[in-house]
Amino acid sequence: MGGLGAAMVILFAFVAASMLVSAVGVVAFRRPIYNALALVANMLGLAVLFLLLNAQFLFVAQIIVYTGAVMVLFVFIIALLNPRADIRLQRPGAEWGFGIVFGVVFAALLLIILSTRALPGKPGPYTPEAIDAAGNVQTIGRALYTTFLFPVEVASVLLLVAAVGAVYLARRRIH
Amino acid sequence: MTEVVVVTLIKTAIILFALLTAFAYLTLFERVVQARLQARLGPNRVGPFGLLQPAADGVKLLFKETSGPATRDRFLYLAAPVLSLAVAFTAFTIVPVSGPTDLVVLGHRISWYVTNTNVGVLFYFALTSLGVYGIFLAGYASNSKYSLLGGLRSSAQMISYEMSLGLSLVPVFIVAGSFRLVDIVNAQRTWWFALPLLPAFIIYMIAGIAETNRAPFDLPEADTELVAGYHTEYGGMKFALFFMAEYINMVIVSSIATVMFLGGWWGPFGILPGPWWFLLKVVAVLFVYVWLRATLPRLRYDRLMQLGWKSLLPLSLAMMMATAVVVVAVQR
Amino acid sequence: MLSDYFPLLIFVVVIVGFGVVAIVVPGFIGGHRPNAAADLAYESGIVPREGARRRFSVSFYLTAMLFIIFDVEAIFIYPWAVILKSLRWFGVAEMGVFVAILLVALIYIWAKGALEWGD
Repeated sequence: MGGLGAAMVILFAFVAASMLVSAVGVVAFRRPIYNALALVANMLGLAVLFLLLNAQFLFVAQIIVYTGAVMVLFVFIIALLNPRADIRLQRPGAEWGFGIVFGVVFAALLLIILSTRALPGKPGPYTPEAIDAAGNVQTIGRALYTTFLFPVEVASVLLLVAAVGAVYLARRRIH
Repeated sequence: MTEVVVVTLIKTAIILFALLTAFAYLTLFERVVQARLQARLGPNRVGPFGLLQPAADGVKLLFKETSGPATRDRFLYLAAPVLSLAVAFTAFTIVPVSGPTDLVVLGHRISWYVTNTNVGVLFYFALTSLGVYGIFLAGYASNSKYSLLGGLRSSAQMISYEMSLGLSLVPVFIVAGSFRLVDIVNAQRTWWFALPLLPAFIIYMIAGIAETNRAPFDLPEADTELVAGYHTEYGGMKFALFFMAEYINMVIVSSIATVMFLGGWWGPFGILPGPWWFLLKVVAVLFVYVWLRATLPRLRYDRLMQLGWKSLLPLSLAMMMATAVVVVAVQR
Repeated sequence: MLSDYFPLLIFVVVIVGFGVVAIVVPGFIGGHRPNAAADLAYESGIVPREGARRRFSVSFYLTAMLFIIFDVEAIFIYPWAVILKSLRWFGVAEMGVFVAILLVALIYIWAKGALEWGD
């Protein structure tokens, strides 16, 4: 396992670095399609991070839902809704100013938290070994359909509301 | 660690070679079978029985001049075929070619798959959902009307059938109780799932054919209206990569069908070793692909989308609930 | 286990490398002769008068939006499928309610004509 542990650290560093680069790309590229694709790359990186945390189901769910569905809609709209999609976005400096301020504040918060090492916690029932024994997706399924049954059923109502909203949006565009 | 790397590299090389060969001869297989179904001879000039035709086609594509619209987006134009190809190949990593025991070579136990993860088939769904980007970006980056409309149609079609593709396999997950392809094949030792879950198998095949943009759902490349669809502006090896991706996707859909519904490596009476049964079943499903192409006319685009949303989606949900009820009812 | 995914990483790296080589190498073999006509987008012999970007039918966006909804639904269904045998009738009832609510959504978009194409 020692070799694998080292490989995981290297992989984490690589994925984290590419996520930072793609995150900058999301705001820095001048053509909207590249902004969206940078976000796709970022989400793929996030999926790999989930995988490195042994969240295998979240790994595939992140790819299927975010990169495979949500970002497809983004790309559709960016590529096609604006006939003059090649117009470069205008970027006033104020956005960068806000970005830098929030970025510095957030980085400072992270630094404070990480330096104090105040990360309390003790192992619960869901250790990596226990999850592997029961199966990753099976564990999530059991939690979803027993403990968190009510939120799951509410989610289906939420999806119904989303369907109504989508139809309403599209109708308004037509008339 | 070193052993894993070496074994994986060897497996990768074998899969790369096998899928490229499968692609090459699938094109010939398709042309010959279609020709016979239409009372023609098909390619028979290059080599004995035309067996060297794929090699001749490959060499021709390799030496083609590179050309494309000057207004194309150069990076995305090149990235799209690579993405399509990588997604198609990677799906094969989860397919177990044989089993249930590992292959033993020089004292090393070697599994019949590249990876067998807990999420199993869900990984294949993740890959198909990424496959949309290769096709859409090809259409977008070409900056040509045919390409763009072809890419758009193709991606809308793919996402529409992705749901039915996923939901049609849920009955299999219910019965097998696992996403691991090895577990699913092992659960079919006595009964192939195609028998009790026949409606799910049919829904899967329809959705799979639509997902790979093959006839009668080959709207994105409807020659008469869109020339070649999303790859209109591609030539030479860049076109060949899309071509490869399409045929390898057919092999993947057939392999997944074999694993999910046709009992994978299991064959009656144990006459042949596992890999041969697997190969036979995949070829049988591929023959259905070609047969349908030679037989059925192309659907109209609105009919195609309505088939996916109004028929396959509710039917796959109904099949899923029916399976759930029956499985729980017969359970002791 | 996480080590199951390690071969996958190796595979993807090799395949992407193969794809890049297959794209780059023929560029040197095939050669390139600049030609004004070859640089135009293909429109069956007609010289393109404007770029390819234009507005498309709202149905495409609607399809993408509705797809997200049913894709999320499918994500909820997959973990349920593999543990149904231990949930038994309770599980059937749970998914029955879940799917019923989504069928309402499907019937709604169907009745509203959101699945119609054309015009």
